[in-house]
Amino acid sequence: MQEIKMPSAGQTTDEATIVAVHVKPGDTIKRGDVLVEAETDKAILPVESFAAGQVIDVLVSEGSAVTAGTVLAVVGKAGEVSAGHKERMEPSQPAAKAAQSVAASEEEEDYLPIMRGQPPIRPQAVTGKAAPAMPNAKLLARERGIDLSDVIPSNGRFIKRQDVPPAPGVLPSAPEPDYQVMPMTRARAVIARRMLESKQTIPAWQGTIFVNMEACLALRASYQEALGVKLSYNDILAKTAAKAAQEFPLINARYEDGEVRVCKHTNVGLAVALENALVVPVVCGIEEKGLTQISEEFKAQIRKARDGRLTPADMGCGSVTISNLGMYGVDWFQAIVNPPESSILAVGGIRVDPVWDGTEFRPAHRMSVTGSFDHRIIDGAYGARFLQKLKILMETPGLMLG
Amino acid sequence: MLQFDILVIGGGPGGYSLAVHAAKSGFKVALFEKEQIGGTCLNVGCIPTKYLVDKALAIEKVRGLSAKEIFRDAGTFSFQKIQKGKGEVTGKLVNGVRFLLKKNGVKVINGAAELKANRVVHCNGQEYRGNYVVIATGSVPAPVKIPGYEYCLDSTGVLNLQRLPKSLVIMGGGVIGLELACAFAVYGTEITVVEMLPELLPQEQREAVQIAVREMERLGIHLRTGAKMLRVEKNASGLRAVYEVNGQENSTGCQYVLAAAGRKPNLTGIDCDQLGLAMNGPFISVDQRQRTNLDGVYAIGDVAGGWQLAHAAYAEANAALADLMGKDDPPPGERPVPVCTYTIPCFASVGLTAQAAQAKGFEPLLGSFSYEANGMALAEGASGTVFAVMDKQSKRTLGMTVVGENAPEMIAFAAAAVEEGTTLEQWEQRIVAHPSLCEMVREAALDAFGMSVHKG
Repeated sequence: MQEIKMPSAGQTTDEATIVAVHVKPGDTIKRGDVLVEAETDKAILPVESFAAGQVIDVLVSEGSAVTAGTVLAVVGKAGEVSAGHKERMEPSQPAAKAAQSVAASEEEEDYLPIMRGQPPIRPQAVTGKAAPAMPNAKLLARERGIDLSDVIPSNGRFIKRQDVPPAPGVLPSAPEPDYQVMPMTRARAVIARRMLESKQTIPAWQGTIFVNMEACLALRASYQEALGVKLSYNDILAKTAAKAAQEFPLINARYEDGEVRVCKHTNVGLAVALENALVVPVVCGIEEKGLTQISEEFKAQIRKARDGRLTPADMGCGSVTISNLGMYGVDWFQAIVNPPESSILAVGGIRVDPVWDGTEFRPAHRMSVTGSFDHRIIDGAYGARFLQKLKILMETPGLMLG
Repeated sequence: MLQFDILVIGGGPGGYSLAVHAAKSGFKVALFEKEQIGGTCLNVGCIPTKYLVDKALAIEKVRGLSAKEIFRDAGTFSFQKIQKGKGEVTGKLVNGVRFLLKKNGVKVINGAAELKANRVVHCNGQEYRGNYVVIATGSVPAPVKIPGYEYCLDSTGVLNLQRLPKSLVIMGGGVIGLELACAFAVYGTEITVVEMLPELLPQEQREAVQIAVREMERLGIHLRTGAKMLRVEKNASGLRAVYEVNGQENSTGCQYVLAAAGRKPNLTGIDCDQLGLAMNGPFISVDQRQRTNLDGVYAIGDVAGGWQLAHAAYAEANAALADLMGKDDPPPGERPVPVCTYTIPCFASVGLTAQAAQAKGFEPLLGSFSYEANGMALAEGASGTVFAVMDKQSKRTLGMTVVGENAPEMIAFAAAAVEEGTTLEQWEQRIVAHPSLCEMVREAALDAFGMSVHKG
């Protein structure tokens, strides 16, 4: 018999909510079957069984809050019953009779609330005779012009200040609020916390470059034509940033536990907008990968993100983030550094600008890239030289060949 | 016929402690027990009740902390799990006593023993002869002669309830009734206590009882004193307890009725008339050294009357053993016996109350010290009061009463003071750890003479 426990779900996650339970006691399962799905602060995480056999008991239900180590289910041989889970088992035994199903419904009442709904002393009925009152209650009643003989003490014995009703003519309750309170989802709470943390703790500065995209447009067209691969500008930007970062390695740095940790690889995270949240799936080791592979991997990560199937391993390991709002017609913007990373690149839309080529204005496709950098790690000149390098590489991608 | 030095009838606190002690002293001992080793105390009395009370105290503590918003959520609790845990604890204790008996070579015979003349005991078809016999058969709940008594549960029945009753009427406001009343009231059972006497715990210091009564009422317990139970009726919705207060008939509907109107000596297997055993009312008559009128036959514990307390039985077992070994130990009779009631708040006393001291011709001074003025009590959120009865003339300590958290622990300190007759001067010189609840024992004694530093 083996207990399936909630796995540890990464650094920022200490709590998760069970959003789906796929097995019930009695089910036969094999190794790797998904038992439950848990929503962490970042993603929905499927929890797989590492044991094969019969599900003896499921100890969580939809909505249960769990932490790493919480026992989710017990798996064992058919017919096996653990002492600790015996009571929970009985109702689901196939031979359970009607009497046992009654016991099962009674079992639900097993736990009684510690706080009592009502104090044991009940308010007295109105007798016409005033109950004794605290001096401050008497004073308040006099101020409000209230007759204390009409007041029922909430503790059943004597009138307290809060038992005195408001004066006649005073509006008894606040007007209906003119707003609706949105439920704070776990993902929303995490975004709020992390963005505030970034703004409050990271001294970030920004710099913008405008990149002539003619070469990138041509590159993209040739990949489409020759290989049938539809590159995204984000793929090209990721590759160029990784190349530039070889010269400016601090771009890959993370500020963690009071240390500047420079990642050996460029792991690019891409901000992906979901229904009501934002996730940043990462593709690691960009510098070692070709554009085709980078493109495929980003597409796969985006699909996973949209399906809510990202695991903590897919996130949280980035060294640089790309946020692209170009498709919404945004020309340029500043992004908030995604802690603990040192840099984020905010990408605007591609538009045709008149560009002076020395003799005349010519139309040229241009795209803005605005870097936000953690000044604790990256100074102005260093960041500017990185942006300059990025611009050169994007305008002449052939230079990336070395 | 099997020959032993000592035959002990009954394996409760008196019986088992005497058997072990005697075996350690080199006697060949047999012990007869028809039910569980450990007797009432371990199996269906003090220990299981204490388990219930302890969990109730924990719940009260959580309620207090939640009310102060130190805990955000109070959470939930399981009565079934409490009952299960209680069984584990009593099982552990019973096994512990079994082990002690076995280790010391006491022959334990499981069966109903019958005492015959000439110190012969019949059990399971076998005859045993002892040079000495110790009757330690204890007591059983005393039945009450009212119509509908058959619908009532005794304390054993209530201790074994598997579901928390919605309501419970308790017939008898003695120690057993009040302890169970407090635990179940905290769990959420609607409790009514019907007590025949006009006051609860009449033997105790009146001021302390008043505090305990006020606190029990705060728990929601309905206390009906001076109330005589007339009958218990069964109807469609459960039971109805009918009682009389000041000549007027009153009734309370409930799920269960607990009959806790005292206990009577257990004389099963002991035919007093045939044996010629002298009686003292319902109890076996004994002298100061627990000797009955029969040669070589002793009686200890509840069956011999006196204090119906496990620790009194322990002391009586020691006295009986000392006598049969020919030791000239002073008899336990005059030594102060601490008495503890595990209500909420709990209650403990030793020695004389002010009333009793007066009756004995002392000129008592009553000192008191409130938990409100003790640092430890404030830190723990404990409340209560310590009372000290001091003799004005000799300035000696005559008695102590504690009502409030940890009273049964503090009373050990107080009992030592009562036994040695600690004087005002000795109290002034005594050093008590700070912060501790026991500081209040000293302060109360000093207060009797107006010498408490921390009392306003």
